[in-house]
Amino acid sequence: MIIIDGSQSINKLAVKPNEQLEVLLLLKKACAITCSIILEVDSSVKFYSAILGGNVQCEVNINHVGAGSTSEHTGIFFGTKHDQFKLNYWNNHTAQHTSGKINIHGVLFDSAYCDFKGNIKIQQTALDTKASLDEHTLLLGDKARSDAVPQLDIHTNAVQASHSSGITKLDDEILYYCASRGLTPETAKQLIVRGWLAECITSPEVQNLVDKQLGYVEA
Amino acid sequence: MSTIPQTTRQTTDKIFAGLNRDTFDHKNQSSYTKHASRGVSEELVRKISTLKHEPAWMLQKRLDGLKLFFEKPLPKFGPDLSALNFDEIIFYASPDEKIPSKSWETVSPDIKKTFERLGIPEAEKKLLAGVGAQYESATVYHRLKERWEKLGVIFEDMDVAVQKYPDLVQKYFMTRCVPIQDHKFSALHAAVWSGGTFLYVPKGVKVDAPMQAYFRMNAQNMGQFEHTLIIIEAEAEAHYIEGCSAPKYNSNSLHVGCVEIFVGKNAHFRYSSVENWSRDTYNLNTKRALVGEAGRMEWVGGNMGSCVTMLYPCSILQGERAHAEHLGIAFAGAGQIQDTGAKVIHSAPNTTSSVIMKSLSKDGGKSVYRGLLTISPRATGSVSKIKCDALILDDHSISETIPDMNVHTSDATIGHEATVGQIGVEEVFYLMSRGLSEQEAHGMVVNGFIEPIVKALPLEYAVEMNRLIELEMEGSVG
Repeated sequence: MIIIDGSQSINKLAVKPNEQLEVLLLLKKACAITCSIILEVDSSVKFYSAILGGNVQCEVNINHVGAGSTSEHTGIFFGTKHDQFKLNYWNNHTAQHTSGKINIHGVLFDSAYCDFKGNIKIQQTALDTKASLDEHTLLLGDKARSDAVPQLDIHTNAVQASHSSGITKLDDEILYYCASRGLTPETAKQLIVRGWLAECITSPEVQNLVDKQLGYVEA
Repeated sequence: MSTIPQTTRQTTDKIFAGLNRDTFDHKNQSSYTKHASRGVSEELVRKISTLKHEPAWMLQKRLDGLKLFFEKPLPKFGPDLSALNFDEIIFYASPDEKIPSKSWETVSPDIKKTFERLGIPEAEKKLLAGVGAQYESATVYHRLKERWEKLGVIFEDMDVAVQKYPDLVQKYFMTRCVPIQDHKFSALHAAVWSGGTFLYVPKGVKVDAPMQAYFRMNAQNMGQFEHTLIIIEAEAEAHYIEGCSAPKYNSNSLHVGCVEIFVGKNAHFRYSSVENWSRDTYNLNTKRALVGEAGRMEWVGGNMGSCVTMLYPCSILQGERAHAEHLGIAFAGAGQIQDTGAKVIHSAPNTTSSVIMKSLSKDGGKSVYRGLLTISPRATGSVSKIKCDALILDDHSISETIPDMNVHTSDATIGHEATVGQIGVEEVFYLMSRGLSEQEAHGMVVNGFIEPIVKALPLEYAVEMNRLIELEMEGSVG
């Protein structure tokens, strides 16, 4: 697995035909970073992103230029205090029979802010492409804010493309249920946040970092 | 082919019987445009105001609008409007009709025939509470059934309303809802507006039949700038329908209408429109509603024609528990860009909104959903759901979805989903196995796709919408 930690601002990766690649993008402090990945014929990438604090500008472009290439971008963002995230996640499909998934879950505490832009672009040449973009944010701070623009830009009809996006608060009913089971509001909140992010946390290292952050939030 | 049951068809045939391409493309003589000036100038703006015997404040508003129009740039988003030549457009031309008639018998035969072809007088008899008909820049017919007049409902041509109800008009006309400085085209509209509808429904009055206005452009290079001002007082209810069309000339026409709606406390208003401009019309409309406490605003819209449409009906939810619903269909055929969407601004607590948009692209057409959802810090407990689906009917058409969601409170729930796809081969195969031709099968799938929007229209207009979609779908297979 390749780990990108924000020490370099521009990161370019090419995945050769029939190869598979795993990438972990782990950002814990202020930085501006671009990751660009080119997928050749029948190659695939599993891209994990974890944005865990600071003033972060991050752009991830996954380009499906080879027929049959596939990508999965699974990520989280976790903002506290005055953290500001500007995230641009793009999947570009130019070849046939490609597939791409983006699935991002985020949590914003305190006055944290996230400006999320996602885009799936399917060119006229990318017949039989399947693409999806899902982005969901849980707002937990009184002054936490979120902007989201998940775009689809589709230039042919032989495709399946979808996106979904949600911005939501803690569900009172779930909190009530947890309280009825004897959990304190803090423990309940911690469990809910863990559950919210679980689908998109893909490595123990990221899980540990998230737990540490949650410890801070409770303190 | 049609998916409309035979029984429905029999009851509605009389209204929209002859609806085909000729209905919309038929043009009358337009000698009144021979001496009409082209382009927009202060001289023209003063002339319009003088012809209409307007009060000084309205002339000043027009002049302010003109100044802003010259100052403001074209929009920096959406379709390219640089080919639109304002100097070619006739901004004001009025047929010989002097004042809006209260009887179709006194409308000149040519114009009357045009509206008869479109089924307007017949629809008035059968189901409408009131009708307005505008031809070029002038309203030629306007009438409200007596029953509603007695209850204090006002349904007037906008020019007449300026004279008859100056205080009401001055209070609401391009002030709080769509200010003239909003954008370049709202400024242009303020400068050259002519005709349109003024609807006032007093407190507690529930108008149970829809009212309709139909806007028809006839001459080449015409511009139409009707203003619709609707005030629905507390506890009142009404439904208003707008239809629009123009013949085709192969040179640009321009439609820059403006719709302002005020929905009072606990009031309920539905605005439906079927816009079917010709393929050489730029349709750059502004529609906005301010919704008060527990008020309910519903937009139902179909955009078929025009070469470029930029239209984003907007609801500003100002009162607690206000609700907005946006339902829309856009159909983009060859050479068309349908850049449409919905804007909802939640600025009070516990407000709710729902947006459902459907788009179809065919023969290289481009349909865009451009949405804006803003939840202000005050709008705690607000809930919004947005769903947009696109159907692309061939491999060289384009669909774009650009929803912009800005949430400034942690106490809101927002959901957005969108899908893009094509007509399923299996669905078509199944329908063909039941004896339908391929074209009929495609038409049926498309009708099913748009059904959630169409069923929000009164039956007769649902028939019209289905028929328009059929016309657009002609020749789409094989």
